[in-house]
Amino acid sequence: MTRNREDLIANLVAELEPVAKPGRVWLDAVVWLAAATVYSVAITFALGPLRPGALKDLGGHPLFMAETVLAATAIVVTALAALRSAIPGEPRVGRLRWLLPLAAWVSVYVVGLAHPPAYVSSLGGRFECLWQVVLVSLPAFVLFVLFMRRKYPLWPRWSGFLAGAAAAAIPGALMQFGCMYVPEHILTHHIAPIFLTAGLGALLGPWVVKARGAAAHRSEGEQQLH
Amino acid sequence: MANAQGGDKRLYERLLKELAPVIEAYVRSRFGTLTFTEDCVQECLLAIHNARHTYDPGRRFRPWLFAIVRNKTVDLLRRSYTSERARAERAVHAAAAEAAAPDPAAELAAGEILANLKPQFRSALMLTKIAGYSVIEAAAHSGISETAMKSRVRRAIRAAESLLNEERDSG
Repeated sequence: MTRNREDLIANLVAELEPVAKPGRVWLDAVVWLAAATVYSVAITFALGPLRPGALKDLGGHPLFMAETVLAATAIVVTALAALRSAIPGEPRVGRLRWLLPLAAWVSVYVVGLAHPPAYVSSLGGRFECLWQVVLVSLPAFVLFVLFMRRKYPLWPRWSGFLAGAAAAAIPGALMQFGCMYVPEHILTHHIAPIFLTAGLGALLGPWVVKARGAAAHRSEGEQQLH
Repeated sequence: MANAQGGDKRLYERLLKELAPVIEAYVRSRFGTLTFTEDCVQECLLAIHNARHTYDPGRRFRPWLFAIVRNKTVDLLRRSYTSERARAERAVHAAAAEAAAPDPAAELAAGEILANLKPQFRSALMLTKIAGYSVIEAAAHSGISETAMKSRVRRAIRAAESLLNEERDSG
C-alpha cells in the first residue's frame, strides 16, 4: 500500500463518527409529499378560485376521478424515483419505468384531444396558469433538493430532472381543478410546465443536487454528546 | 460498513484496507496504468467515507460500493486531470522516449474498458488522462486540431461511461 493511501485511510478512520443509518425512502417521500401538497394547494387556491363545477365533476364523472387518481399515482411514483436515484447502488436498469405513470397521465390529455370527455369546460381560466405552475413548484423543488442532498446522489442531472417533475406535477394536477378543463390547454399550460421544471432540475442538478456527506449525518447519540 | 456506521474504528480501518486493493484491481483491469489508478482508489475511499450514511445494511454491499467506484472513475476522467507523476516520468525519459517510443499510447497497458473503445477514443483518453499529455500536445501527436481532440476526449469519456454502465446493468 502506498504511503499516501495509508495516510488517507488513517485520516478517514481518525475522523470516523457514528452516523444515522438511512431511513426508509418511502418515509422521506411521504414527508415531502405532505409538505409540498399542503403548500401547493394553499398557494394555488390563494392565487385563484376552484373551477366552477370541478368538485361536481369529481363526484359525477368516474373518468375524472380515475384521472385524478392516476395523477396522484404519477406524483408519488416520480417522487419515490427521485429519492431512490439519490442513493448509490439503486438499480438503473429500467429506470425509465418509473416515468410510466407520468406518461400514462399525460396520455389521458393526448387521447382527450381526439376524444374530449363529457366534463370539458372552458370556465375558470386562470391568468398565466403556466407560470403559476412553474412558480408554485419552485419551493417544492428546493425542499426536494434538500431531501436529496441528505443522501448521496451520483447522477445529479437525473435526480434533478425527477425532482423537478415531481415538484411541478402537484400544481400541474391541481390546475385541473383550478383552471379550465380543455385537453389542449391542459397539455400546453398545465403539463408542459412539468417538463419545463424537470428540464430546469436537470440543468441545475450538477450544482444543487450535491451530497452533503456523512459528517452531516452524525447519529442522535453523538449529536447529544456535542 | 454497518459497524462503521456505528463508529467502530477498528473494523472500519480493516474494511478500507480490504477495499483499497479491490478497487485498485477493478480500476486497473478496466483502465490500466498505475498513476491514474492510485488517484482513483483514493477518491473512491473518500467517497465511500462520505457516503457511508446511505448504505442500508439490509441490502447488498457490492452494488452500493461499485456504484460509487464507477461514478468516481468517470468523474476523474472528466476532470482536467494532469498527473504530475506522469509528467515527471515523461520528462525524465523524454530523450529516450522520442527514439524508443514513438507511440506512448501503445506502450501503456490498456485496461478492459479502454480496450473496448474505438482506437481514436482509446488513444485520446490514454494520451490526455493517463499519460498526462495536454490537449494541445495530444492533438499534435495525433495530427488533429485542438478542438477535434477536445471533442474526441469528451466522446471517449461518454463511451467509457456507457461501457461501465453496461457492465453494471449486466450484473
